Amino acid sequence: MAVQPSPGIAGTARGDHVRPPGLPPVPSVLGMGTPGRPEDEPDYFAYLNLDQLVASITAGRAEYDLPPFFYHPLGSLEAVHFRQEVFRDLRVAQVRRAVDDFAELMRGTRRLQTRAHPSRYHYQRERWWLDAGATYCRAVEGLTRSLAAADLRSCGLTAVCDALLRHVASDGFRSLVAQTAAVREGLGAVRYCLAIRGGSIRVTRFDDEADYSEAVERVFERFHQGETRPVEVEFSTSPDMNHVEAGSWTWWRSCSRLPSPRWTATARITSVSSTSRWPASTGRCSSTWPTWICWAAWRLPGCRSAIRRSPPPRRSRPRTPTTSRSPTSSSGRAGRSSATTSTSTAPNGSSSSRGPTKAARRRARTFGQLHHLGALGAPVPGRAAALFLPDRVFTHFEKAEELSDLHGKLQDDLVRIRDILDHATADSVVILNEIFTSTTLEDAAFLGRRIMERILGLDLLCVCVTFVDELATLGDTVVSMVSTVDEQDQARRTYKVVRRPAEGLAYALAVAERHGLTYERAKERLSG
Amino acid sequence: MKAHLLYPDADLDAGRMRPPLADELVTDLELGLLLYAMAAGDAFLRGTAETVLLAALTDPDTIAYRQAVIADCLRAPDAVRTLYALAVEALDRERRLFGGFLHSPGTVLQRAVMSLELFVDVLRRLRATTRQHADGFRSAGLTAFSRMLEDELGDDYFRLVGDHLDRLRFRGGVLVSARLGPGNRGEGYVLRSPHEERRWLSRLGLDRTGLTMRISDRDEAGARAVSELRDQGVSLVARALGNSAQHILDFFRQLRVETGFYVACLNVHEALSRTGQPVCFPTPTSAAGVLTGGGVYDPCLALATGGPLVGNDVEAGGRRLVVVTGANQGGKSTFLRSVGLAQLMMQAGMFVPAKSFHSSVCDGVFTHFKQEEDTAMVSGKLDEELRRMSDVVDRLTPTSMVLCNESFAATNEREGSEIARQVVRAMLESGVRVVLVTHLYDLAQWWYRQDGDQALFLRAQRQEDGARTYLLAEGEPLPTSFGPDLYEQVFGA
Repeated sequence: MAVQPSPGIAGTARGDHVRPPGLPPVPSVLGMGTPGRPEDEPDYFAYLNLDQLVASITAGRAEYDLPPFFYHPLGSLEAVHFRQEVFRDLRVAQVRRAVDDFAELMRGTRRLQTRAHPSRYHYQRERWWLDAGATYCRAVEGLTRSLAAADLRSCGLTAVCDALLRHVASDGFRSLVAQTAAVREGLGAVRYCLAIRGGSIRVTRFDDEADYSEAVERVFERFHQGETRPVEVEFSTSPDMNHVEAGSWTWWRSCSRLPSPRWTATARITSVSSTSRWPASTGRCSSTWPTWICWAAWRLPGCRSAIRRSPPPRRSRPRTPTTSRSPTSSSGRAGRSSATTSTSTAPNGSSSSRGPTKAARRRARTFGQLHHLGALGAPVPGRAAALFLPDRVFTHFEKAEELSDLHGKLQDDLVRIRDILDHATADSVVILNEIFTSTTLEDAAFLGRRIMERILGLDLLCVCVTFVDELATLGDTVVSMVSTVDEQDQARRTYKVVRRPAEGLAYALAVAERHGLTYERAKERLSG
Repeated sequence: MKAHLLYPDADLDAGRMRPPLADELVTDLELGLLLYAMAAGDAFLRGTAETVLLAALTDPDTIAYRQAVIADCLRAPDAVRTLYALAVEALDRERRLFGGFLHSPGTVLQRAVMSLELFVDVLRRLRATTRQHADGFRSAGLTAFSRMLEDELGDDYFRLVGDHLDRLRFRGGVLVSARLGPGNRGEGYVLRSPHEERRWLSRLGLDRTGLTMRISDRDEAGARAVSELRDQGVSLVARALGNSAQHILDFFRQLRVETGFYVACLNVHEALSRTGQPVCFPTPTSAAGVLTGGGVYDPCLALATGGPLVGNDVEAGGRRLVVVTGANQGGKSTFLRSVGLAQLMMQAGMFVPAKSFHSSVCDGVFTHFKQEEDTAMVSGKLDEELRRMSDVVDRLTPTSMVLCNESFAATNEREGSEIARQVVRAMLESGVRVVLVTHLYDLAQWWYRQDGDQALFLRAQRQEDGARTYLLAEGEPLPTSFGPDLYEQVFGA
């Protein structure tokens, strides 16, 4: 497990960057196992809705080009553990907030820098640089402080924190902080007045004149009706100074003529921006962070998944994951992990799911999602999960396009399944979703049995969603699971898949039960 | 300054969410007919009446507060109608002012000044109206309202407002303060009152302190820049004044809602008087399980037929379940609606369609009526009924009231009875009051045997010749329905 991150690896993940002068090498938080960045999604990505998941968790961060980081499952337990350690650190709200704040401030820094370039007026340009510098200092100091205060356990983040501490303590950084602060303080204290009448503007010192808006508000205060729609007042403000404000220099000269020592501070702006090299470096520095910035923003009700490399002995240790909510459905609804219902553990090799189609499908999908996410070293949704680290994940989902020739479709299904079985090993995970729906029950039963026998022969992990009951009783390594409709809250449609055979309640009462209207259920709801 | 005519210390939240299952309630109780009479052609009144009726009061004191205001209104209908008309006028005139869609500080400021001028005019007349009627007011609501107008809107205050509105035309230019913001541009512009000695100098253009820049006549960009600066300078005061105008507008809006409700009450009172049916102020109670009424009738039916109606007596005492059985078209549904409407109207603070009515306030009235128009398959229909019942159960609290009309008729009698028995028992044991109209004899009879003294059993009557009296009488459920009679009547013998 004791994998030390190699410094500068983040650079290789995004191509070669010239390291900006004065900045420390920022170690990667992705770990050693980080492969190159495959540009293509795995085959099953869309089937498992992982594309939607990735799109939603990387939304608003297009500039970092994050999705490829999600394409490649890791091959070794060490690499998985390295990332899981980082994630565990990121589960601490304080750490996550620190990273979020840092990302936001660095965006701000870049925004300010891009504004400085085109500005026509010297003093305005200098001010943008000054503010960019101050924001950068704040970002780095804040992150360093938070990480140092946090009880970091992961090698990844500890290395980052060490590098930051060295940087923040350096002379160059200290003097940048001190200079920007001094100049900003001086400028922040400036107050002046404008008397506007017709086409003339008079600039004077502010002399504690009373706020007239307040006076007006006071007069009408007695009509205050609580929350009201605030009146919209808009005026045009171009980001740049207009020539009345600054262009003619007259104004600035007039200001400096005012007898206030504070104005001398403006003169120092020039020296700061010309002697310090920070503006050129900040943009690059921040680009090494995005990966875990994104991870941090990913607020799945996830937990650390414990991945086992070798298949556990049969019937003695759990092998399939225990969770029921798929990440796709929960990614948009953060912080609701308490609503997660867990399905029972299947101790055996294969399981087949029946019952309402959608629920079973979703279960199969969840199964695949968990294995992929787990193999990324990422948290998976659920209270607890023990996952297998597969060498590959295979999925067989019905193709969306309808072939007119049913025979052709069946054949296509079989060909695709044969491909899967040809490549699958005992360490693979296979997901078969509603196979052979295009044929008769008899055919489906026959073909299903044959396929399942081959799968049992391979002794791999498999989830098969089917309407063919017989498949559930094919062998003692098959677990039958039935999806049920949630009995308490129809509207929320939380599906639960349980290990139980169908029950034969009287129809009407069964329906009443489903609506939570039997005496016991209604009593319970009314007292709760 | 708040009207507070509906609640002693709060506004009606007109924009509040409709209570859950309100649509079902409105449909099942045929509330539309009542609202139609309350509106008397004014669509705004219809909406207001509906909002108030659905936002039921649960506190007997507040109910009494409104009852007193209504009594005042009945004594002097002109007063509240005039107040309502003034509120409508203020809102109307304000809407017609030009420039509501422009947001530049100058326009906002100018429009706000005009709004305030017209509001001052209407406020003066509002005060005159309450002054004229103040002696006749007995209710806490209207008395406090007229006293508030006297206290807050004195002549001095109107003068002060006039002075400010004049000054806000800024004939001497504007003085604004600023500080340096991002990019070293001015920000935080605040309009300032010049010190008194400077005020005159600047009015005369003689103040020479500081440094002055003049924009030449040909410098159009410069002129625009100056006007931008001026706009930024007055933006705060424009917003402040605009917000003040908005607050007074909201005062009138609220006044229109609150007086509107009482105007709607007057309207329906007049309509019911024309039918000759009695109304009375009910006596609400916080005690649990009370439901006692004399001559309770369905006001919607009265308004629709215009004729005299049979009112029913109901004496549930402390019994939480009322089971109504008996002849089809014998007045069972009408009775159910009349109880529901009386309860709703009572909890809106209104008079109720009865000779007397005494009932516990409840958290919510919920209906579960058989849906006649549903032609879905039987199984789907039962499912739909159960889903609706489940929605109701979701919203129930121990002080709720549930009105069931032929629930669970979508399956056979044995199963329907069993489902109803289970869910209604659970409701009753939780404290919920249930009025159950049913033809499920199995259900009614079971309850009669099981819990005879815990429930009130009413039966729709029919006379020897088969004619219906629409009167309900206490009595044990009878095994047969009266469908054959109806068949006889419709198809003739």
